[in-house]
Amino acid sequence: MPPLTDPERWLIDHGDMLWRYAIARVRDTHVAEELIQAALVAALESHAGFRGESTERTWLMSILRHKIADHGRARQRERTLREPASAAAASLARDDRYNEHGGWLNLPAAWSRSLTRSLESDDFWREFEACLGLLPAGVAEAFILREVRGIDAPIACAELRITPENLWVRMHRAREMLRKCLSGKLAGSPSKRMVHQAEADHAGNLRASHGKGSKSGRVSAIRGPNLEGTR
Amino acid sequence: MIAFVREIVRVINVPCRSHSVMMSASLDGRLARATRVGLSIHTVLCVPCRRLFAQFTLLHDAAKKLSREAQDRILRNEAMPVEVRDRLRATLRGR
Repeated sequence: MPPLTDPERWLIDHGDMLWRYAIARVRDTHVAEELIQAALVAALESHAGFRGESTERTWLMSILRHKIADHGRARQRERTLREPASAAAASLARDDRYNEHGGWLNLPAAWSRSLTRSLESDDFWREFEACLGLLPAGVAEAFILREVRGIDAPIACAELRITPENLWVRMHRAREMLRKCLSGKLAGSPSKRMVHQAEADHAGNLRASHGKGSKSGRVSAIRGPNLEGTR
Repeated sequence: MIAFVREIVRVINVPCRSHSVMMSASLDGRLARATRVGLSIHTVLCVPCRRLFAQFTLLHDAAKKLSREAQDRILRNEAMPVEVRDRLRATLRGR
């Protein structure tokens, strides 16, 4: 059997790489399997067109990439047709924190001290990953590329095929949605209305990182729930 | 210098909705110095914005930490599962 027409060998030689790529893009094992199958079937049907100008792996990858892009477009159409896709995701997307003047309407909830104090907490990571999973795919991808993997912005833009402005909008959306999602799960006791130590530590860090901030490292208690219009 | 101070004052006084965008830009490392100073002063004065910034910063730090662990996880799961491989092989054989 000629080497290039041997799909079993494709699976042995390139299966793991195709799998990793598909999983990273679609984040669903069933969909990843379907897309790889579609890509391999397409490769099998068109292998005569493979002239060996690229490596076999590059060729298979480009077919898989097209299948993933088709899938993404179909999913986008579906999402547009029956929005909201899920109540949780829709609730995250809703911007209800500010009034019409841009002042505070719904204050950010305090996060439970026990969960945020230690980022080693399994609960925190479970919630963090679950919330990452609720973000729209493009937003989650931007966040993971930049914040988790530390990819430089120009490279992230090239990979996502978006403009820098678009990237920054996605980063902001990711932060807002993640924060909101985690707030629903890590909320502290509302009766205490104190800024917890974990947040206070981070507030201190950010003031240090911003240099010319307040000399006061103390974070005071929230004054009360009604800060509408606070600027 | 006047422009610098003017920018600080402007940033302190814009609506809090804009501060949220600035905080994100700050964590992305693309905020001008005067804007950064104005934002810092604002977060000292505004408790909800301070909490918001603290939570954004916590996410920023957490994401960095996820990096190592997520990569470990990905490395552990990098192989195509055997049952997926078997199903694909069966499908391709039938073609």
